[in-house]
Amino acid sequence: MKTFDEALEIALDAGFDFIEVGVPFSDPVADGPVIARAALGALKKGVNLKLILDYLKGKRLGERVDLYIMTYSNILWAANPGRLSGVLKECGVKGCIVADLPNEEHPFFKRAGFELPLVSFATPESREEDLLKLAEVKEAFIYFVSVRGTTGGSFCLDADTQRKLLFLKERAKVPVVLGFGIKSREDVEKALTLAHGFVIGTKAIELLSEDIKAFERWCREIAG
Amino acid sequence: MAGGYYGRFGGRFVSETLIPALSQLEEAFTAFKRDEAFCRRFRKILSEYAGRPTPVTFASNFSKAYGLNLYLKREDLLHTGAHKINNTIGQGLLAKFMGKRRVIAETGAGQHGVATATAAALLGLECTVYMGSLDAERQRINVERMKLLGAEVRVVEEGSRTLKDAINAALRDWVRNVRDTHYLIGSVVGPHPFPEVVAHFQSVIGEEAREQFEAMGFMPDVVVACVGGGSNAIGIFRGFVDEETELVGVEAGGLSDEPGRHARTLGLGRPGILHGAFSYLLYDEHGNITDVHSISAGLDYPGVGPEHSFLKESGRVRYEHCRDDDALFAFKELSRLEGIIPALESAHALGYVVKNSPQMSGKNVLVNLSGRGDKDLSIVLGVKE
Repeated sequence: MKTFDEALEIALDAGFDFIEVGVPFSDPVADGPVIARAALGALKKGVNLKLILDYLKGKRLGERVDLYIMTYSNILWAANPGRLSGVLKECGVKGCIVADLPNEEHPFFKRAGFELPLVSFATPESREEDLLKLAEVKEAFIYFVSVRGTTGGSFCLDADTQRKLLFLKERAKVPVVLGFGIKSREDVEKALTLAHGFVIGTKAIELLSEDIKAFERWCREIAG
Repeated sequence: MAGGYYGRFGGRFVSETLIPALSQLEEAFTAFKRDEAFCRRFRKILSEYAGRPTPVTFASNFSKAYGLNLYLKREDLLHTGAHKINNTIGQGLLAKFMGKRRVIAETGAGQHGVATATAAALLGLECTVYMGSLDAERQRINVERMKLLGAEVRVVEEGSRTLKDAINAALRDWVRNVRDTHYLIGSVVGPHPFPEVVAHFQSVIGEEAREQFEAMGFMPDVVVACVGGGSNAIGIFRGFVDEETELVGVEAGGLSDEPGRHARTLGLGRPGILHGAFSYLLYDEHGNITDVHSISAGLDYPGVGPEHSFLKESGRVRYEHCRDDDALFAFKELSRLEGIIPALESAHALGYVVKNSPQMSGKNVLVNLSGRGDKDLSIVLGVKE
C-alpha cells in the first residue's frame, strides 16, 4: 500500500487526468502476465475491494482526479451491485471498467441495481454498426482496446483499426481513450492523434516493481 | 434458452474482443445444424470411428447385491474412453465449417485434451491443448498421448495449476488468435453459445438411451450422472427431461464440506460470474474463486454449466454429492462385480447409488458411465498406499 500511495502522488503530480485503480481478481483472464502476476501478488497480501475503497475514501482522491475502478464482473457481483454503487459514489468513484463485461451485458448489472457508469469498449473487431451504437454512449468514456490480446501486448495499429478509431472519435459523445500496449512518449503522441486520451497499465506496473524513481522519471516523460 | 440465457443463468461475460467471434460461432452453429451434409458426416464419424451407438448394459450382479435394477449407458466403450469424443468431433467439424484451421482446448485430467487431439488429427486441424502443471504431472500418460496425436501441449504454471487455470490460458490464446482459431471447449460451460453447442453434441447420449429404453418397453425411474462442468449429465438428461423420470446430478463431495476440500458448486456455492457465464460458483466473500478438491481430476472445477444452475432452481434435477471414499468404493465395487472399471468421475454417480440403494430399492436406475477408469489406476493405487 505504501508503494501504491507514493505512485499515486507521483502520477497526480505528473498531471494525469484520470486514474484507474485495479481491484485484483483470482482469475484475471483479460490480463497478460505482468498485471496478472501483480493482481495475484496483491491478493496474497490481502488486498480486496473493501480495503481499496476505505483507502480511496480516506484520501478523498475523488476530489483531486477522475477516479475509476478497474476489475472483473464477479468482484462487483459479490459485493452486491446495488449496495456497492452507493459506496463507490461515497468514495468519489466516477465509474467502473470491467474487463469481462462486454457492452451487451451492461444491462445485467443495471438490472441488479448498479447505478454508476460502466465504461463501454470498442475493439479492432467492432463493426460499423457497433461503432455507431457506441457513438450514442452518454456515460463515462469509451475504451478503445487497441490490440487483439491481453493487456501488455505491443502497441501497433493497423490501418483498419486507425480508420475505426477516427470514425468513432468524430462521432462519439464522450471521450474515446486508447489502451493496451502503450509504453512510451512516442506511443502516447501517436495515440493522441487518433483518440482523446490514453490508458497505461502494464508498463507502469512493470516499472513500479523495479523502482519508484524510474516510475517517476517515466511519468514525467509520458505526461510531456 | 432465450438471448443466451437459461432462465437467469448464462450470458456472455468475456472481453469485448471475443463478442464478434461468439456471434460468428452462434450463426455458424445454427447453419451447421441445418446443413445435411455436415450432420450426416457427424453421424457417420460417430458410428464408424467413435463407436456409436453405445449399449445400455444391465448390471445384473450389482443389481442383485444392492436390490435395484442398475442399467449403465456405456460411454466408456467409445474411442478414447469417454463421452468427450462426441463433442470434440462435433466441434471439430464445426471449426471446419467456419473455415478455422486451428483448435485450442483446455484439459483437466487429459480426457478432453486427448479427445480434442484425436478429432484434430482425424479432421486435419492444428491443435494446442492447455493443461495445468499439477494435472500434467498427475496425468503424464495423457500428455504423451496428446503429443503422439500431433497436438502441442502447453503446461500452465499459474494459479492453482489445474483445469480452471487451463481455461484462463485458453481464453487468453483465443483473444489473441480469434481470427483463425476455434476454442473447442470441453464442457457445457463458458460464454453463450458454448454451453448450448456442447449440450447439442452430447445430447446423442440421452437420445440413444431413451430409444434403447423404449425398445425395452419402459423408462428408467431414475437417471444419475456425475457433474463437474456437467457435459455428460446434460447429455443424458436431455433424453429424459420431458419424461416422468427422476434426474439426479452428483457433484464431487471431496473430503468434507469445508471450503477447499470439495467441488460442490451447486450444493454449496452461489450464483456468480466466471469463464463467461453467470452460474453457480464457489467463491469467497470478496468474489475470488475458491480452491476445490476432488479425487477425480475431471470434477474439481469451481463452476458448473449455466443450464445446470437453471435445472437446479427450476427443481427439474436434484443435485446431490458423493465423497471421495464413496466414489472409490463404487469404483472397486463395479470392477469386482461387473468386470467394468469405471472412470473415477462416473464412480461418483455409482457411489451415490450405492449409498442410497435402500431408497432406490426395486427401481430401474440408469447411470451414465461416462468413461473408463484405466486412467485412474495410479490415483486409486496411490490412495491405497
